[in-house]
Amino acid sequence: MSITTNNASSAPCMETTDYTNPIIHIDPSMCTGCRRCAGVCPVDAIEGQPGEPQTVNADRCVICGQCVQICSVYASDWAGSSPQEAASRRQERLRERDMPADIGEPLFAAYYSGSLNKVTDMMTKPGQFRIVQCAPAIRVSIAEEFGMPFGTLTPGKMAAALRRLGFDRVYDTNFGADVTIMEEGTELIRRVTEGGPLPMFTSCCPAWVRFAEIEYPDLLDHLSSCKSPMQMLGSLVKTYGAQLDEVEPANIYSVAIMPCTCKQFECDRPEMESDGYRDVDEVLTTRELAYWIKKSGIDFMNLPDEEFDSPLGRYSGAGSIFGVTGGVMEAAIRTGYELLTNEKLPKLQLDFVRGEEGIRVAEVQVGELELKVAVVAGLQHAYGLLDRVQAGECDYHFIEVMGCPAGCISGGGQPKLMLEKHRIEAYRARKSSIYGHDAGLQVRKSHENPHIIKLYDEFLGEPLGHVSHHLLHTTFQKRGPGKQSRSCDAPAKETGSSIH
Amino acid sequence: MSGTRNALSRPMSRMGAADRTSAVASSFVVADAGHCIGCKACELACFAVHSQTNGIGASVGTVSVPVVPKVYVVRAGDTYVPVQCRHCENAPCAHACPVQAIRQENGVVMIDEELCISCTSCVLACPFGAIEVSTVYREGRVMTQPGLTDRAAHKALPRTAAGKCDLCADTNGGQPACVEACPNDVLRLAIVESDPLPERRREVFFPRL
Ligand code: SF4
Ligand code: SF4
Ligand code: SF4
Ligand code: SF4
Repeated sequence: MSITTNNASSAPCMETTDYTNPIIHIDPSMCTGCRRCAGVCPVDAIEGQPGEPQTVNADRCVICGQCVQICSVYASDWAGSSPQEAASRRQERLRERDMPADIGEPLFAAYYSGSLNKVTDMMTKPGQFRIVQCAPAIRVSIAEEFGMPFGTLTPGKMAAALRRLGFDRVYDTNFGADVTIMEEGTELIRRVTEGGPLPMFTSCCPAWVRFAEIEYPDLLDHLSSCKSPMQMLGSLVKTYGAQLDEVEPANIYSVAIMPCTCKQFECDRPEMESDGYRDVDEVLTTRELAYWIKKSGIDFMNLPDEEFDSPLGRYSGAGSIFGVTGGVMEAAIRTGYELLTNEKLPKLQLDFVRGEEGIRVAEVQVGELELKVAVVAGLQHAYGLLDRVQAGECDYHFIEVMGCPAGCISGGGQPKLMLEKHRIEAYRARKSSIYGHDAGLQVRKSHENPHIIKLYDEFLGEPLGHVSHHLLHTTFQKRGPGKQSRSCDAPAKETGSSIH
Repeated sequence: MSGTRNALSRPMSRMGAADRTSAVASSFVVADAGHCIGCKACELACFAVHSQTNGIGASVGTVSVPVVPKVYVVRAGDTYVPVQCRHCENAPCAHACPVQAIRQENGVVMIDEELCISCTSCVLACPFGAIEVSTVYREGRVMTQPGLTDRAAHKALPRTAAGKCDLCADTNGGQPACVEACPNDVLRLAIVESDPLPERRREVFFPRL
């Protein structure tokens, strides 16, 4: 495969109105005003007095769902009313939340709108070719919804469950992650060799992208023009995949299972379509997939391990580590190093990006180039860094930003924990499970994935080429005047340290 | 210790924390009302550790039964306060119980769910409103009371029982779940033996009748 450096795409900025259908909500009839949600919100989007119901400022909210994860105020089944009244109130709330009527779990004040009812309705529609993809972080968390220990790894059972739920093809966002590395790595090399704009930021996390659009619209051309792995795979499903299966793109119904509450927003963005078809039609969270499996009476833990479908479901270890903070960076270095130097990377496991701090920085010798990289987890840590970029004082080449505290394994749509003391434990277990999965795979670099090589040979041509540009790259939108709109300007904490 | 009023056959193994195995007059969870933010994390934690027979794991998704805790966050004006059993030395609830389902073991007042007949005498007797009578679930299913049938529907009615704070006697050591879970450090376990203050104040506030 060759790397070419023509045709750099820059991201034009356009002003649009904000989204009108908020995803994150707080039920005023339940919220006690404890403001624990405000404590975890990275952008001060939660407004209200202590002891009074809170509201979410939808213009500022980046839809990361961390508030949904932390809220512990549940609806009591017997608070001052008869059991019948309580039951009908519960049904009303389930409807408000677009949740199926037969869910047994408690309902909390902070919640997100779901899509499961919409998806199950569509699944019964005849004449459709139903395709699903699953994010890297689902396979290390979904088993927790069935009472298994934190981080239990179940890619095979997940594929089996999705087949039993009626999907014709079970693909994998990890494949999309491998494609992302090919495109983003090439873009980085081009920006470094052709002069910017640098630093280049990753663009896989929709909460981070939305954050940049709201808080730092003047820096949008620093974001990689790559779509996220979910959107990339979505657009390949309705083009390359449609060709292979000989189906009409119009008849493809494409669903994505994501750890993230912001992915629905991303898939609804007007830019996210190719040739008039939505890249991804609907997004379900980890929790919603678990509702669906339970509702269908599937005995998840006793399912056999099944394979993902080929070719869009075959991934490398690099694709699978996208689910943790530092993963995109590590995957990009594995590929970027070898493409740039034509030498084997001496050590595959890049420990310097695997930490837990909000910001980690490192320098990597890649041939002649001393590549300066940074990894950010949690948007509250992004402010300081972006201020430095704005001031022209940041000489990094490549910066990965993930909105959630430990990357997608800690996303807003992941299993919600009842005890706060379990949170760190769960994140660590999910993370080591992802790294274990990577270590156990034969192919661990995106550019060595034979299905990726074939995709470029048969369909895309070359990274950043004409077809890629059309299907896999996007633009961003200015969504406000920028950071001065913030009510309270908390200084961002920087906790990282240089490795070299 | 003379608290055991009846010879129940259940073992004493329910006692958990080491500091509660020695005979103490009483221990209970106290709250710093002014600092409670009303988040109900204590209620959720209490429910989570007391529901393991219902297959409830760490994630909310594993919950299939109603959340019934043994501590309740109550709002009074602008103040929230968690309310739970005080493990009274001369427990009025135990006096009121006609079947001796309530007993005191090493200063912890316990209700034996198996013996409880749901007469609600204890609910009325408790000065703190710390007892709640609710449906009993096992393995995620409603337990039924075979003697009680809904004739029209031909089915047994649910079994109910009184429940209240047991200081997490089943958790085998450590702090009670609510104390651990509170993000504001509002709750703590007071052990009367090593906490002499209530002993003296008792003479002031509760003179012998
Ligand atoms: S939404 Fe939940 S966490 Fe936020 S203030 Fe209301 S009750 Fe507390
Ligand atoms: S979703 Fe994220 S950004 Fe929005 S209010 Fe909740 S914590 Fe804040
Ligand atoms: S339930 Fe009420 S009466 Fe019984 S010991 Fe507890 S506080 Fe005292
Ligand atoms: S956990 Fe603490 S702060 Fe929260 S409601 Fe309970 S006592 Fe109050």
